[in-house]
Amino acid sequence: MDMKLVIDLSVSWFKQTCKSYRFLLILVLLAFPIALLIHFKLIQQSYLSASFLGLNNKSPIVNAMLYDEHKGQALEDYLSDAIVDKWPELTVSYERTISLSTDLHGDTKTQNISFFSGGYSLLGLKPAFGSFSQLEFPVAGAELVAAISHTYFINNFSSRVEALNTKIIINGQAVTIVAVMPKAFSSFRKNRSTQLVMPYSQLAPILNQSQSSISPDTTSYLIGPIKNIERLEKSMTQYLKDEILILDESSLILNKAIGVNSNEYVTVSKRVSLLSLLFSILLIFSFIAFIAFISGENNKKQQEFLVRSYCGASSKQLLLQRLIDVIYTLVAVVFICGIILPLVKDFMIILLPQMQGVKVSWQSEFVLSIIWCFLGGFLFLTALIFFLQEKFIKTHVGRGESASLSVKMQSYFLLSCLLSLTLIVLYVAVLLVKSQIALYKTDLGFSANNRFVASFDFPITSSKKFMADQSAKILMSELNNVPEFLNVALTTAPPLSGRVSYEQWLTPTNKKVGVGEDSNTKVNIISPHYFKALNIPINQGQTLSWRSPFEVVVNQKLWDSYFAGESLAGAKLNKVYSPGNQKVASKIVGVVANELTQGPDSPAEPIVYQPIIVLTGLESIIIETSLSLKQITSIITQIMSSINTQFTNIKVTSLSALIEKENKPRVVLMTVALLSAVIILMSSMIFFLVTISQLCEKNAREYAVRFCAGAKTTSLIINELVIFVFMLLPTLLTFLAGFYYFSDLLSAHLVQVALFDYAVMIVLLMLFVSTLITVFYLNVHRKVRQAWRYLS
Amino acid sequence: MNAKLITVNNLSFRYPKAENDTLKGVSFEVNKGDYIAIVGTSGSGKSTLLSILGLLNKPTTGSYQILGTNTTKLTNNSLSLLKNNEIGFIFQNFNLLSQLTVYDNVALPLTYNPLIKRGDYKEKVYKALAYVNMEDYGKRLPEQLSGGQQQRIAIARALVNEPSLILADEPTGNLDSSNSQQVFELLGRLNNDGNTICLITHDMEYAKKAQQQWIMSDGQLVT
Repeated sequence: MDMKLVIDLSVSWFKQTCKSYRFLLILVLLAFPIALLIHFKLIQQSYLSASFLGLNNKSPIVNAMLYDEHKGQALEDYLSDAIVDKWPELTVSYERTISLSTDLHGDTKTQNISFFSGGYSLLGLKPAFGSFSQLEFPVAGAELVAAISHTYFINNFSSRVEALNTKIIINGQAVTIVAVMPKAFSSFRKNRSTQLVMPYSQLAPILNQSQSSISPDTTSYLIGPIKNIERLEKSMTQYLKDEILILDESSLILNKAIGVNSNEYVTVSKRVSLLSLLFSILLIFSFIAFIAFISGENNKKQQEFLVRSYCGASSKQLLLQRLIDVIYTLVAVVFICGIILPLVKDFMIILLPQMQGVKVSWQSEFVLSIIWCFLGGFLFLTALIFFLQEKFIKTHVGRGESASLSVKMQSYFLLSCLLSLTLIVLYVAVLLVKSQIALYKTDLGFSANNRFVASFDFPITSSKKFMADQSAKILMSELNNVPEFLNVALTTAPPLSGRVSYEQWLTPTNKKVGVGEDSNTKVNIISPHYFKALNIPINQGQTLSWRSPFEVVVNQKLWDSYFAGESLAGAKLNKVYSPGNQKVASKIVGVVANELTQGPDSPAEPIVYQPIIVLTGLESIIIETSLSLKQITSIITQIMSSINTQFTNIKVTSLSALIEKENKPRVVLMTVALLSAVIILMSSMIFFLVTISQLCEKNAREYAVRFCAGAKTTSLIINELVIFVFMLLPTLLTFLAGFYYFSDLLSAHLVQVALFDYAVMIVLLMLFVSTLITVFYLNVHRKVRQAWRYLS
Repeated sequence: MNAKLITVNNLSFRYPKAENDTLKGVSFEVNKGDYIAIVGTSGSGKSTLLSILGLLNKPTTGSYQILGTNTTKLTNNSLSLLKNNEIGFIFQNFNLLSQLTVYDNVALPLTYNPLIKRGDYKEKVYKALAYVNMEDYGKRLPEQLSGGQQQRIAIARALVNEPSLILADEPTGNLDSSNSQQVFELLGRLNNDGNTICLITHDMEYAKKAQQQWIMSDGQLVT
């Protein structure tokens, strides 16, 4: 190969590319969806890789869970028994990893301990030292045994075999070390390390609990020769349904997501699949623009090749130039992808908030295989465009001196489809953004700044005496004594917690209070300072008091719906108690402003606020303070444990953080909508500009002749526009009909915004029409100005 | 007596699907340093003859030798090499590449000349540009130049490889009289410096500036 020629052609390519902003833009448009798709694949791969297990068998293990009512859980014993009966070659294994205190030779530490029910030999896990037999087949009542991790073996026993048979105290109980895990094993959980592995059956004795109480955070796996996961999943689900072991709406889900939270995996994988689909569609748009651009550039290339052949370029040398063009274009796409990929990581957190804190591993082998796949496809397609360019261009803009009417109609039809779709995507994006901004600006009816929500577990049976009357008052008065706490209140439905409770309340005229005819009444059981703590304005009357259990406060929505125009004095509501439908009247002492406790997208519902008397364990504490989360937790823990030691699991969350969390999907929706709109807009604009420019170039002589014959530039433009509009109108109407047909899908995401926003429609349409006229005007006008060149 | 550069013997050419020959048994010789103007009516075969002399088309019958090499026997690669080394083109519409600078346009033939190193490009390009008085325009784009300037750049490109033969097809067709005058002065200077020029023109006045005037009619040389 002539290196000098390669260098010359390379230099020429770089010089031309650097000057072509449109080319760089199209490369970015192309690279962005590719980078995102690669990242989506990496996320899936990160979830699906189980390298941390150090398996010697290929694909012998799959995660198995029962998916019911949008939540997955580990298989119950009776299901695993049924599965093993039907598929005897499979083993169902359970795993749970928890942190417990350990004591080795007086050195006390908290360590991660995995409890695994067995399947070591099927997984190909072989101990570095010792034997797994006691872990694989534990005997009930026998001594507690554990395998230590290789790291633990090195750090605590300096790799000495004497580690075996050593006793270690775990959660106060002696456990004998019987094996050392293989070096490649780091954990049963992704992104975590495990120091000890014990039989699953010994979890209950270690925790001093019954086996039946151990269910949360347990993962179940199928181990064995599994070839086709999808087929197995289908037949197992069908079998369990046929045997009436699971409900019709439940399903068994098998996947390769080992060592991760199954529910999180299902949520993320669903969103990843959806986003992958969306960005694949965007990639198609980008590619259409890319093809249009390349075919447009090929017109110039043909001229360039002709000149080069005059200058002595042989056909082989021209072929070499073609190859260089194709390869460098692809390298440029990969290069820009390489720049975008690290930036996409932060963007991905916006799209997938669940990914916050999840480590996405960059497996070079995997990234390379994806890049090769893309490169292969692109090389083929780009080469096809380059080498069949003449045919492609001819079919795109037609043969002959001037584009014929049918050729124009073909081109304009394609263009109309693309532009109609773009117009609709833009409209949808504007509506979504408007809707999300409106939601973002919506006043929730309460203040979140410096407000915190503390939750706690129910004091269990031994402390029943705490459930005596006035318990809530005692708790509140203790917390109110903290000088840093400006306001403290109890509530059964803290804002944005998703917790709601309903009762049946009637107006004095026996009208049901609630949304809809048969619905119940939303209630919130609160302490008197609730409204003050959340800064909810009292529009009429007063708040509740500890002394009067038969007084209630209602929100403005309820008042307006059932008591509009009435006086507060004497206003009452009746609570219906079941069984017997006994009615007890409560006096309405106040009306407060509406609070949107479910977030801005849920409209205000009628709410009855009742006074709290006793703690039931379902309450949360609202605190207004400027202290930090850590300080609040410490103070509350101290006070609550001084009241009753059975208050456990105290968790404090900032209300602002909850609002931020609530807003995250909104940001995601806006980001996706805007990004899709921008990519589609740019792609279709490039396609539009290139096509019109090609058609005008093709018609240049015709324009020149007509111009010389006395035609005005405007009439030439109108002629073109008439044909275009003739094609555009039916296409646009068809797309609009499609949009109308599927508009229900969009309505679900639109809050506070009308589906048919005529102002947006008119603005978009005007922008669209003016762009259309401008592009046609500029192109035709340019050709007319050069009329002489085309005629002489 | 000057050495022979071109020998054309009984050359005929017919376009595919055409019923008649465009060139009919043309024979002539061109010596090194000759300056020939070919004139004739439209369709007389002038441009076809020039395309064959420029190795862009192959004759249907007859032979065409350049520097003693029979071009009809050469492969496409050899023809390209010969074209690159021995022939320079000047066109009516300049045929400059709009995306390349003046420098890059002039350097284009050097790209395909394996005997010239990249390090020598600059000297050769600026020598050619200086010849046409355009050495200050190397970094400009063709669209930033006037028609006359563009044609001078095209002439610089034609002579950058120091070819034996320069073929000019209506080089002043797109130029006004003042620029046309300058181009013909340039061609005259090229010929005085020993270059062989074959020119096609409609204008007898400019044709008279050449040493010889050949008239083509109906595919044959009549003078």
